[in-house]
Amino acid sequence: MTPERDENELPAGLREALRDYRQPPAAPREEMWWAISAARSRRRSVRRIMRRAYWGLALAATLILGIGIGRLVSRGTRPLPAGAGSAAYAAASTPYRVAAGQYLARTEVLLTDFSAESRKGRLDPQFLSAARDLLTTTRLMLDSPAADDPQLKVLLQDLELVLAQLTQLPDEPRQRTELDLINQSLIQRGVLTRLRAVTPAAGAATRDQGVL
Amino acid sequence: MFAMLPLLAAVTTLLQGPPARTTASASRAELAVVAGSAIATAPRAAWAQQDPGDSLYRAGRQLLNRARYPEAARAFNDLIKRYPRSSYTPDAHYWAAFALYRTGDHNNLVAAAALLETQASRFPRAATRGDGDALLARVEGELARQGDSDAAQWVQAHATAATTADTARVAQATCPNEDDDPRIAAMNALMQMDAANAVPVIQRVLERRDPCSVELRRKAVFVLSQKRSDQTEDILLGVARSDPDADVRGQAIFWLSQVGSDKAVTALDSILRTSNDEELRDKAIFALSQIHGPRTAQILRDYAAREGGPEDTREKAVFWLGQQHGESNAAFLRDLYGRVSPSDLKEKIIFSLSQMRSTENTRWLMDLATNSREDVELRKKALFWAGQSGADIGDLTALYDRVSDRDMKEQLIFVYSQRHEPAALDKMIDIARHETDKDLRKKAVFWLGQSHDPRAAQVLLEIINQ
Repeated sequence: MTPERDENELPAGLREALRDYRQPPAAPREEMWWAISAARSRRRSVRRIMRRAYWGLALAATLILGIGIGRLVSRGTRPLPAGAGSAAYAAASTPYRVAAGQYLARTEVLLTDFSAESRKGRLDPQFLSAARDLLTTTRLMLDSPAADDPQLKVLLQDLELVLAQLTQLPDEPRQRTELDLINQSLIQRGVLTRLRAVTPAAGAATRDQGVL
Repeated sequence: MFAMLPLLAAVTTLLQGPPARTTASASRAELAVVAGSAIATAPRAAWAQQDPGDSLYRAGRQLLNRARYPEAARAFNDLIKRYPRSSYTPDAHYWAAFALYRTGDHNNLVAAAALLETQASRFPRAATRGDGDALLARVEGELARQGDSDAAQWVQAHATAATTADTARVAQATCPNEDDDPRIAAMNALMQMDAANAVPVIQRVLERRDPCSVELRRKAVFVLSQKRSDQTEDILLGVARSDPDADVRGQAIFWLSQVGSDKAVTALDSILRTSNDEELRDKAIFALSQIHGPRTAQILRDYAAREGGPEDTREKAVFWLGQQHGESNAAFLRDLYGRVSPSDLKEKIIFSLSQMRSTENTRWLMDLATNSREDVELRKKALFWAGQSGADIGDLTALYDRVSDRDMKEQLIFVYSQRHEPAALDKMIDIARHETDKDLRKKAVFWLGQSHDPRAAQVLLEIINQ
């Protein structure tokens, strides 16, 4: 029995009612095109300007990293000491801010890569070596003036935990379990989100300094 | 069975918080043995097809993720006690130690050290052994900072071990990173604990030339830069000049920014002028920019103005001069603009001046934007940055009717769209309604569409209904 036959068997009034029932409204094609074209045009304009300003902005972004760190206050998962803020970090000398910016950019790349790689169920040895280097760096950063800022310190501690897990993946059959646990860790602590919130948009500039 | 209870209780007490280390009846070695014995002699759990430790292990890791460290340590401890043959037990030692280390409590740190030592002796092939020694070095370092003399001795001995090459590794030409991790951690711990003792150790590490020590030397430079000492400058200068690895040299140059003596400035100036390595020059520029004073400012200015010098490095000099915010630097950059020809360098000067935010600089940017003899792309750039650095909105709106170039008008519409003053919106509305150039009108309409101001919506509605 096909739906057409069913419909034909219905009384005419009901058939008419059925035709109008849940009829989608006409697609607002003009409006949709307007919105798409507006968004594309806006992106192009901003991109054009930004591309030209990229180099300077990227370096400047490294310098104002403290502002990004400050944003963590509203997203942090732990209460912070009273009166603590990004001021301490902002006041930290520029070399430490540059070093922190560079380190965070590298970590962001690694963890983004991990999210993709872990779906394959196996991690490249080079990836693990990079994670180990970042774990050591994280610990050095934790003991450096860069961690005088409480928000950055909390982020560094979370990164230490994630990287410690990453560097010690067991062989099969437990590897899958561990990968799941690491992914949970990343999600629960909102590590990538927080990392991206404080990482200068253009890591390339900070890489130029290559300091840790 | 009953005979084992005191041992289990000892481990539980250890993990939950034993008496202070100095007053405890058991030494650290004894505690480790106690922990190990308890694990070795605890009753075996029924061995199921599925690992019986799985739930506790997952629970412990979840608690770690939630930063509930004491509870996480208890979960791992339960696992160790209840399922000593579980495949999770070797790693539970590491994670219990990690959780205890995070609490920072002295007694927990002692327990963490005991767990890691137990793991090293009983489960040398555990997956987490890779970081076990490095974590132990951190734990010992923290204990040393809290005044534990055993730990201080441990840190000193392990940091000193970093000063000599591992002949086996050198012979095999294998340099696994993980071997360096505990040494770096010990070196760092020693620096935090006793800088005077640490500096000579680090100096010896930096004197190493074997290929396996590159990573160690790289990290040693950072550790050295943490605390100022009489020798810091000379050590960093020595590394900057003679380390065989360019990366290590670069780091020493970068951290010379923290020193700031005349000797350092002279060395940085020399590197800047003579190095063929762009990265090293960039780091020298950066370090000089961080040492504030008339001499360094002059070096940066001279370099920025140096005709025929590497353009990228000159651009960096311009950037860092801009970050110093002095009127003399601003005046120099405004003057330099007219003397240089590469447009990229000119662009950097525009950007740097916009970052210095002064009435004089904004006026200069506006003058540049209206100078029809200048390249239109640079004029647009100047206009954008003038708009971003707070140029008077009245001046900007008045400019629209004064410029004839279509590109500049388009750029002005964009600049208005990035400002939040009502006058900027008024001007866009005016352009949307009265501009004779259809494309410019469309631009204004587009940017009005991006505005959240209800007046913009009203105008768009009127235009649609026309």
